[in-house]
Amino acid sequence: MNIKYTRMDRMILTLNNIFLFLAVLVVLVPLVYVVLASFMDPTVLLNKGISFNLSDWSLKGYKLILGNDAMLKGFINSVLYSVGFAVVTVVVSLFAAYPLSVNGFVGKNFFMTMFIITMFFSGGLIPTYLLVKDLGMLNTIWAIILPGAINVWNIILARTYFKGIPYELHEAAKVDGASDFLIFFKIVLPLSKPIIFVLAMYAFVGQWNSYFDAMIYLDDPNLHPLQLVLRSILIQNSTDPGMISDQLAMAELKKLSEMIKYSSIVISSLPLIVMYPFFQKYFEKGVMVGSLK
Amino acid sequence: MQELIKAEAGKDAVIQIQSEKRGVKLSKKFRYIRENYFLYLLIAPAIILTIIFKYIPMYGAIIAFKDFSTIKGILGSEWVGFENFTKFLSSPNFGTIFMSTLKLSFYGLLLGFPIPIILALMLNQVRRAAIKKNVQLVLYAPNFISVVVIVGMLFIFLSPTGPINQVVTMLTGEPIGFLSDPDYFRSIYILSGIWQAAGWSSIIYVAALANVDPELHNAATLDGANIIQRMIHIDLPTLKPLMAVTFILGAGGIMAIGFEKAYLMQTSMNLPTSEILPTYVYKVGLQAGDYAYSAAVGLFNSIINVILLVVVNYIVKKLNEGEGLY
Amino acid sequence: MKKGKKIATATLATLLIASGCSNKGSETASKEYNLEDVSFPLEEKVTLSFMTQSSPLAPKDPNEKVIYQRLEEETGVNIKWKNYTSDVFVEKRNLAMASGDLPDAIIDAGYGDYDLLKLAKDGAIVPVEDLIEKYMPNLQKVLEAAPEYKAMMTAPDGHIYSFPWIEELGSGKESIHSVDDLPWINVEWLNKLGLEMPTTTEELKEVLIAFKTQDPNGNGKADEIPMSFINKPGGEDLAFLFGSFGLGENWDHTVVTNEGEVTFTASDEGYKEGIKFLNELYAEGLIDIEAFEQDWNTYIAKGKDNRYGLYFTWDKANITGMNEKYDVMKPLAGPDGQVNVARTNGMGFDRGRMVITSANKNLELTAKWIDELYDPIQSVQNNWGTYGDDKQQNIFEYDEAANMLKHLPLEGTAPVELRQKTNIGGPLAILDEYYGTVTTKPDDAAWRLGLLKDVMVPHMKAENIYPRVFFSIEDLDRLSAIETDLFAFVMRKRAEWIQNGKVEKEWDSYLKELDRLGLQDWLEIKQAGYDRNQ
Repeated sequence: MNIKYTRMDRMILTLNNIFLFLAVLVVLVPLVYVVLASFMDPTVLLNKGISFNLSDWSLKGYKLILGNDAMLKGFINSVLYSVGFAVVTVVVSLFAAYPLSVNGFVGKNFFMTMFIITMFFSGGLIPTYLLVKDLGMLNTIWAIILPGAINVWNIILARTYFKGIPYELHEAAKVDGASDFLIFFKIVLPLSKPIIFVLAMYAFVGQWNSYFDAMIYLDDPNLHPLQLVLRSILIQNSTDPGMISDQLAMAELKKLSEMIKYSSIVISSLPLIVMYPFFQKYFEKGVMVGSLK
Repeated sequence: MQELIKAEAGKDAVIQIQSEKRGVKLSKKFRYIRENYFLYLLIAPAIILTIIFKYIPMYGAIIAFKDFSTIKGILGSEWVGFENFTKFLSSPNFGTIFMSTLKLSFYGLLLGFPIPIILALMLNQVRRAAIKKNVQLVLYAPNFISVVVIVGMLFIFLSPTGPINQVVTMLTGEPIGFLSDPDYFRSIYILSGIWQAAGWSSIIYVAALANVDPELHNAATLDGANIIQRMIHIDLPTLKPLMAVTFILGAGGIMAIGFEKAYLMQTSMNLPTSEILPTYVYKVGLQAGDYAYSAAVGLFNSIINVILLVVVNYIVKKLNEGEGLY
Repeated sequence: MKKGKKIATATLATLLIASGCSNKGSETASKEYNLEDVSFPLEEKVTLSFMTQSSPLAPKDPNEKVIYQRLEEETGVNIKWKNYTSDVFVEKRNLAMASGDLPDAIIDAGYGDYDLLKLAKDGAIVPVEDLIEKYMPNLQKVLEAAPEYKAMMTAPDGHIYSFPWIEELGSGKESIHSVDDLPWINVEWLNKLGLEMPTTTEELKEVLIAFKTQDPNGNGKADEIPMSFINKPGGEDLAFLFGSFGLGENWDHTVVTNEGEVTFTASDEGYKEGIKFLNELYAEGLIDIEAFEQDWNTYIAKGKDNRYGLYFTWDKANITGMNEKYDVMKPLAGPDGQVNVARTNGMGFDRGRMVITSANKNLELTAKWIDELYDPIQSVQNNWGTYGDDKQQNIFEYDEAANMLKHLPLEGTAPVELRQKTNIGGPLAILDEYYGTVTTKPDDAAWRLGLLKDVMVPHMKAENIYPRVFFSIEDLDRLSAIETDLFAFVMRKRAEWIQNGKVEKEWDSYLKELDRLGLQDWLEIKQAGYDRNQ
């Protein structure tokens, strides 16, 4: 890192920093708003906005969420599904991406086309559901992990990364008599930490924020992930205006959902944001390895 | 006559040589597979999962041409030909909705594509690790927020009495109907999308930039290149393959925008721009549980996607020295 | 490699066969018990398998509800439940049906007309008119007392496919559904400014101007909102105001004239005049600028803060609380002096509350069990909740001497939450004549009925409302295709015109666009449906 900067460079760098600072501000302000809003009484919030008068603050939202058994269970389930999903996806994607990155790999185009077709055509919900049912995976963690484990986008990302690893490394290893097996596990993978962590984060976050598969494949409420539990409280059923007895029911549910709207965002995003710096540590290490070669 | 025979014989010979060549090619392929069987073992799990969970259910797409009956099942339902398609194409607002969809995703791609790249280039210039880390931490955060919440925040910030309109009212005396004026829908949809995803999308570019050899930068500096020049001549070429891939996939996904965000952002006033194919299908098809109809529209979407993908891939390949997605 | 390929092919083939076959048969439905001439309680307990939905607040296993425990005791039928919370119910129900995994019956099925006809056509649910005749005396009694429901239950093909939910609270013009969007005016402000309750549209305008300019809440700031509403068909819309200009407006834009002609409200001359009036209000700054995009939560928050002069909702308790600050506003005389209150098309009738599937092998038993739900005293509990639960608060107490249920005071608990935890919600019938003999009226309903009768009913000119017509599958297809575009267009133009006042200029092209979107077809189908039901 001993690049010498000219005056021109310094100016550009200063501008660069100013822009980044502005970007951070644009992102940060709404987020701070959400966090502050999660501590406010919803009526006050909608009438006056954020208030710094302590009497307008309330912990009701948090109490409602944390006092709920299903939330805790959902939290544990979410961790389980997200970790499991991330592991499977990352392993499968890396394994598939490596051959596709090797020059002269016979069948490359065939396999690639095969993957890409699935990005555009699918059989739809019902046949997939029937398949999962026939495989006996309903109400198991496998229904959450396996059907979505192939993410073509991930494979392409990993393949692109592998292609960036200088070919001379392979050549040298081959000359030394190393097998494909050794090259992949001893040379390629150790150099690929950044992409591994990026893919893992992608997979983990995607799974953490999703509820649809769980809604379709899991009947047992004890298996429901956090997002599904939150959804059942947050969702506002629409009613037929011609049949009005439900009106009062709506009013009640809406009040409850407004109360926990912001606190539930904070609580469900917290683990991800707390985890991130941990991931980033490895990320940085990966970058170091990458630049040493 | 003789000449004819000669010619025939010559033809035979040519054919023989060709088939021999093909034989050599085939056996070469087999030899490759035998020698590199480990590579095929590696790719096997992905292939198996793809076949089981993606290809086997594909037979279900035929319900687009059927009058789907729950009791008779997918295979047993009656064929109705293109009825589901004509129903969709002949609805009075099909043209408007189709164009709204195209515009929304086209502008989205146009704006959403370069910004993560610029962000990554800028982040790459930050030399102090601690600062870089914290900036990244902040920029990635919105990605963790669900769509429902994002839209909820938009309604709060952009309402006629919200914080942004308070400033607008101070300056012009009148609030802007961001959420009711159809002219604003696309901008809000796209900009909020960038707000949420740009930081996170820049990750792959940042990772790729980490692979750039610092020596290249040093050498360029010695040659008197400034930062901008180095970005253009060293960093950008590194990102080029990734950019090509992202762009092709993005273009192929133009018709595949999700319905949830647009649906949540709809007010009765902004429908001329906010009614897009996915929301329309949701309203007409899925709310009535009409799987066949929604399958037809889905198939229509996929076909347009594939056409776009193939065309864009061809163009990019031309521009990018033969390097496309496939 | 070859071996691997073989295995892959084999797996693939097996899977294909497996997924092709799974639409046959159902493991969920119960087996045949061969019971005939069933009378409850059964000597030997049997089990039926039902699907249902419940609120997230209610117990996950319906058998934990006292109301079901009592039913099990009385009938000797144990129910094995597949219960889903209401937010995922529709998806789960559709998947179960689509994958051929049929239970014996679905309670609180939430099926629309289209679903019912489609399922019947597919043979997934069975017609029940014979079962009603043979095995269901309670339901028959209901249909004898109120024969109009039989016509509404019957599909265009002459069959009955489902068991309905019938809830009467008042009847005819005095029904609780007569006006959904009641206008509530701030009487505290009226008194403070020394104003009279408005009786004409012009007077309303003056009152609203006074609200805006004379600082009725006395805080020195012009933060009062003279009038607010939610720009969506339903209880919070301002449709009520259109009554002063002609036939009035309805959530489904449908009004039936006294000659029996079905008309589309939003193409009426009176509708145009109404819009002009609303535009005048808007131009004076009397309409909440958030009205066109606000949701329920924003609406309610401003209501709780008492910032409205006039607003619309089903019951003021939801928005501004049960207090004396707001009172219902009387219907107003329009420019030509006429007063009219349009009757909301709606009634306590929902067709698809329960269906019996074709997998059911115990039709008589199931029918008789369902008939128990139509027993008057059981129906009342299905709807609101039960009595005699020693673990939680009760909605009713049971008066054995009079064989009658009496509403207990709520003591601060939200009635809805309590209901959802203790009721069934499925098929039931509560006729107007039950009040006073089988049950007491819920307090909130009694209060609202009184209000309607005193203030609104005398001004209702329409003799008819548009009933719950059971259309054929083709008609439904066409109607829903038209309405998706047509209704959205109408609501958008209304909002635009209220704000920009161009209604006169654009009226002709508007009418043309309505026709292009299929208005004439729509009128024809709706009229034919209406005529069939007379």
